[in-house]
Amino acid sequence: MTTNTDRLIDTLVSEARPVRRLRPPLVRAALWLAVSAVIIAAIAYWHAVKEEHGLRHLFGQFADLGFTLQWLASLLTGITAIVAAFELALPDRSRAWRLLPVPAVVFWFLSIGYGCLTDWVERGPDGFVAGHSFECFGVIVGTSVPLGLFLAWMLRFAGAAWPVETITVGALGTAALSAAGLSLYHDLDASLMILIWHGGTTALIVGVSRMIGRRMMRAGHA
Amino acid sequence: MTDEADQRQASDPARELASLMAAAQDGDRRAYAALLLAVTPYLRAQARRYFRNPQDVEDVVQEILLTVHRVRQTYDPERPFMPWLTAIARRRVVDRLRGKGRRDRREIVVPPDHETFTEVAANNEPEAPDHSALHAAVAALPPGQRLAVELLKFQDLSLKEASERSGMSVGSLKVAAHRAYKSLRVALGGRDDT
Repeated sequence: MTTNTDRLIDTLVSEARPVRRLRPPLVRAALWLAVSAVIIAAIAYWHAVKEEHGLRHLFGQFADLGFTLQWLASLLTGITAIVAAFELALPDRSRAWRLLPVPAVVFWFLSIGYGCLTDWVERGPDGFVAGHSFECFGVIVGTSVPLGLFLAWMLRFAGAAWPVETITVGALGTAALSAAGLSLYHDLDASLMILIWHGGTTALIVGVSRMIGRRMMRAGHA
Repeated sequence: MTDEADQRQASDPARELASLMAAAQDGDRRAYAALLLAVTPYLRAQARRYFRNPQDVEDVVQEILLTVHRVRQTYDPERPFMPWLTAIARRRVVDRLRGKGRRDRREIVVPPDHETFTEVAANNEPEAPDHSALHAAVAALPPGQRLAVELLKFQDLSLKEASERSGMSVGSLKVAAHRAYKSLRVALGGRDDT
């Protein structure tokens, strides 16, 4: 058995070609965020033009403090979660990085909750419409999947130390950024709907990604 | 005693391991070999804390080494080496413990002692092989044949190495070995009592 290990070491040494060290995680996170921002902005612009709201409508929305807060919170969730994912993907970084997006997530859900409350105050029970918006769901999932694949490729070494934690914050980051992008051109009237369709879809993406990640780990090391 | 040796290994200056790893990332194979050989006893000692079966210990050590190899570009030489290695080792140990837990819930391991063969004779413990007869038979061979058997079988050399060592050509070694096996078969076959 020991000779097997020695033989393995010989093989590894004979295969040891020079490797390029990874750049610092913050630099890599910034690179991913920049590419994703371009993709999300392109999708948002294309939708805004297609739905004939135009960009004026989009910027008009920022006059609404509630909307601005929600949008900033989802953006902050996305950025902090992505930074945490790039840190957690490295074996020697603290596991505490997974807590980085928590304040932003709380802020995001509180801002949506506050929106629900003001809806109730302004419109009474009528403001509490739990309609359905499968379009939101489709757009968030549709944006998250390519961004997530790109992220998975950049974090392909994450299996070495904290795979499930990395997948969780990574999925949270992509879903939150997709939701932030969606908010730019697709406004839901009721905050409850935002809670259900943005928050719910984000939670679903995180849950499904974790499940897939665990299964992959199990398949790889069973 | 080996644990003490492992401890000494583990307390080696961490900076040296870090510089070996940095050199290995740049493609220095000698540094890489030195690094892997230096950390293996430490990894084995760590693995022994979680696994009793020596096969499990070696398997997990090999998995750790493979992972280290696969993700060696994630190491930053500015940072200490041991936390990087320990995090990878811990993940592999945990994965293996989980995998083992799952397997143990589903499967029952039957130790080889409990196996029974339909052939009655196959269930008897094998007797220790009688080496003295073999050595006597080899000693009785002509010198060329004896040399061929000693080099090719006892020392486990390849034909090429045996040829260099003995000065005989590969062809004549083959012939000598073949004749030696034939006479050994005859010499030992007579004593076969099964």
